[in-house]
Amino acid sequence: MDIRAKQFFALILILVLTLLFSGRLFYLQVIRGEEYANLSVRNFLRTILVQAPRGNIVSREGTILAHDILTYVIKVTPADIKDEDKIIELLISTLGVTREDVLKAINDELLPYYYPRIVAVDIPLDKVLELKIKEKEFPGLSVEMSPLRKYEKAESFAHAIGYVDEISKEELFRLFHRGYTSGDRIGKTGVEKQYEEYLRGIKGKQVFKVDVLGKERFLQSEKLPEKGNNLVLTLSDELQLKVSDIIKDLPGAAILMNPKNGEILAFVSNPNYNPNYFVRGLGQAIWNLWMQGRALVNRAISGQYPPGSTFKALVAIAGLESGMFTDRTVVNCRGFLTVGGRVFRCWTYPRGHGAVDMREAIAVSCNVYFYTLGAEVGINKIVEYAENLGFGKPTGIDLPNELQGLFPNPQWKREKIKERWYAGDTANLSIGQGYLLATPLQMASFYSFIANGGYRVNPHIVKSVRNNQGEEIYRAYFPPLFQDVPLNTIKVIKEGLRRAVTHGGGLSPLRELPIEVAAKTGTAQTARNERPHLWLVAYAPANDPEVVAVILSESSRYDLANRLAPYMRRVLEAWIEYKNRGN
Amino acid sequence: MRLVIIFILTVILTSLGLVNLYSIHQGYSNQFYMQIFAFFLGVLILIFMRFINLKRFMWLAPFAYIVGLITLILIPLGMGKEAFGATRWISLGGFQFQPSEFAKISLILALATLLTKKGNPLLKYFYSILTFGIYGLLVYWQPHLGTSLVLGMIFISMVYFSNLPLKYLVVLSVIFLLVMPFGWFMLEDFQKARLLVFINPGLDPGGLGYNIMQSLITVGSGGFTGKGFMQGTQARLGFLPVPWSDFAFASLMEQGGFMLGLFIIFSFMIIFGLTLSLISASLTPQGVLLIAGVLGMWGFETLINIGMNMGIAPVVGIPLPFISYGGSAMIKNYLALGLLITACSKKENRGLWFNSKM
Repeated sequence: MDIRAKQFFALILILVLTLLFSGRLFYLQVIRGEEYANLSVRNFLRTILVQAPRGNIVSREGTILAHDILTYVIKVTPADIKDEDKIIELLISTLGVTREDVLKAINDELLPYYYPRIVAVDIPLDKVLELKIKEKEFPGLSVEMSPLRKYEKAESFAHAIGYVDEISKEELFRLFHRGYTSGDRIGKTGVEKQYEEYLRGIKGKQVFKVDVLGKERFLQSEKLPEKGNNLVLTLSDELQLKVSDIIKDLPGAAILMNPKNGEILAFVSNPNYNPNYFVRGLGQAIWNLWMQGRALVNRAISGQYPPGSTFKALVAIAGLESGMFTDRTVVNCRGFLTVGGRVFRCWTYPRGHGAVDMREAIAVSCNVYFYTLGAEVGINKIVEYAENLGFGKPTGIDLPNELQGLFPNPQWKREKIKERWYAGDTANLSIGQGYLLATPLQMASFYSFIANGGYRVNPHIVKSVRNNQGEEIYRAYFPPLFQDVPLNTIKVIKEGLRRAVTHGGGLSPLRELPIEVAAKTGTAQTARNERPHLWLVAYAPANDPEVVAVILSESSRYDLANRLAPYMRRVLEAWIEYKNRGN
Repeated sequence: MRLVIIFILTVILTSLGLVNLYSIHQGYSNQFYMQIFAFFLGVLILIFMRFINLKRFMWLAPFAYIVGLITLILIPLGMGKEAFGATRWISLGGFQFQPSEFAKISLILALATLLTKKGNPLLKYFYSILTFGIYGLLVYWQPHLGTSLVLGMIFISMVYFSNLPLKYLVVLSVIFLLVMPFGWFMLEDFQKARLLVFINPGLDPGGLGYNIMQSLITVGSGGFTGKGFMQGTQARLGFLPVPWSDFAFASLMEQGGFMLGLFIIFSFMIIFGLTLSLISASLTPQGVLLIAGVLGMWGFETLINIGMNMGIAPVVGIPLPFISYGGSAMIKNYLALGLLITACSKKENRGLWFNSKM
């Protein structure tokens, strides 16, 4: 081949390669340029979100119940780690954390690898010093300040306030569009959950320009976090502490509520738990203890119990309103009544109450009177009134996990139990037994209706929300709902309830109080040989009630509800004391 | 005239290399000064060679080859300086130089002498293979796969433009293809990894594939207009590996964009086209081979370097002529330009050339 031909082929090669390279360059820079430009931005800009301090939760008096404190935390940043094992060994030896916990934080695949992850919180100062000087030696390890939730008077308020904990994977997938990231705190229950949006604040944002080693070259922009808004509860710090102390040996619940506006003054579920453990780590022993006592169950709204005789007030209302009975209608109690071929006993069996009218029947809680009344009124009327007055429906309190109780009716029984409704079912229902279930809060709500003379109120636990400038950005306001129950009817019931204290047996401790109290007991049999659930509902002052109090003793060690009277007396004493101080 | 155009283009490319160094270090740096120093040294050599008579020059060829051989042997004997896992540099009186760069020039000189000798073509071919093979293997053991490939390309280009029958090359290629599967087992692990990753960059995002991906991002993110002088985030913040040397092209693309890229590619095209045309301007067979050797060297270095910057060639650590940082390479490139000038020198006595008794 002559040299010209060789040159020619070489020239072709050069031109082809030039064309190929130009084409490739065009493809990379022009066709896919934008895509690569985005990738390069993602390379060098790192956005780190800064936890916002959560808003405070204060009682109606202004006492701080939950707030964020700054503590030292240990963070690890996987992108910066040189020797993972060394860091883990160091953390295990100085802080006593487990290898699993550290690895879980490091391997959290839901966070970018350059994101610092918290492995331990609330580090004591001596350990802080010990670890701080090792930051250089152990790249990826950092000691920082971070807000930590702290609950004051933690156990008493646990069920009302709830707690925050690390966001779960399931919550994260549901809520990531609202700006949550893995490792965030989130309200798990109580008002912490219900008012999460108000409390959480707005995260800060730090944008770092970094080099390939992830070294923070400089802070490109920073937005400081904004503290969340503050909740003012309707709960009284003083009453809450006293009431939870009074019933501390009674598993169950106690509620103090203002019947005029639905504000809850005390909200106790027993046993309780210490929410601070969720923030700082929970030992297995404590967890087992809590599980054993079902301490995490909020009995005031999630506990459902047969209301027993406390329900008789509703049957009485249905009786008067249906026109079947007047307040003077008299029933002769012989200690038992045969309904549908079955014998239904009065609680005084074999003795009877003799001739009782409605007021007396309520006062002495005569079963035979209410069997008779229930049979006369009929199941449909009872269902109608019960449903209007909130049974079988959640009260709508501003707390999560509220259960609705159960109010049976013939249709329900056909569907669930596959049986028809018998006259005996109506008899059972008339004295608050049978399938009927109610939560303590439903009971407080129902008795508020009676106490205030016929209005349904919305129980609530948060009074207002204030931002950090002190401006009110939310205020609880629920117009009372008038129910078409005439005052005359309510008056009869109220007189009966007052009589229960003045004339009935066993509630004499309530007579010792300086104000007039009306009350109703309820003893709910669950099954034979099982301890009953005991109720005591009271309001005071009897003529113009300002407080409704409910005490529920779950699977009580007492056999009769009037044994709760001393507890109620102390609760009301506490309230009177609180009231007399000008509240 | 063609030589002048080539010279101007190389100076422009060298300047672009300096601009890149300035931008990476955000100002003047040791590298910048070293590069300017090497550039001036290269131009001085160039001027010196302008006045050289090729005949008087060529007796140096075997000597240069032997010096090259000694420096390459010194490296495995422990005199080398290790960097990036390979030993490629020799320290001499405070300066470090890369014998393998100068070995390219010595090989061009040696082959130009050998291939123009009279005698049995097959024997001549065998000696050329030996001449290239010794260098190639020594460099390969440094290990420096890229440079041994460049040496191979010099050899192929020179044999192609020599008067040896082309079938020799064809036979060698066939043998090479047959031996290649065995050659795979001779590669160092990291060399195997590089080749595998080149085939599939997603294979190892944290390692070598990462380099390729980052290089693509760097070039691509430059877009049509580039991010602007000193605005290259990929290069400055360290995402792009060795932006002063192997990935200098990508670094320039990030700042200058598509138009600058076309300018560089076409500059190289013009340099190579003109160099190619010089082959018929040279009056001597040795001159022809010198030009062929230089063309093969530059051409292959450019092909592989720009190719690997754009993800269409394996990452084998070959610098881009004139643009990449490196004193030895810079001097070598201007030395090669000098070879072109001497090869085309009109002062040459053609008669003497053929009767050379080297």
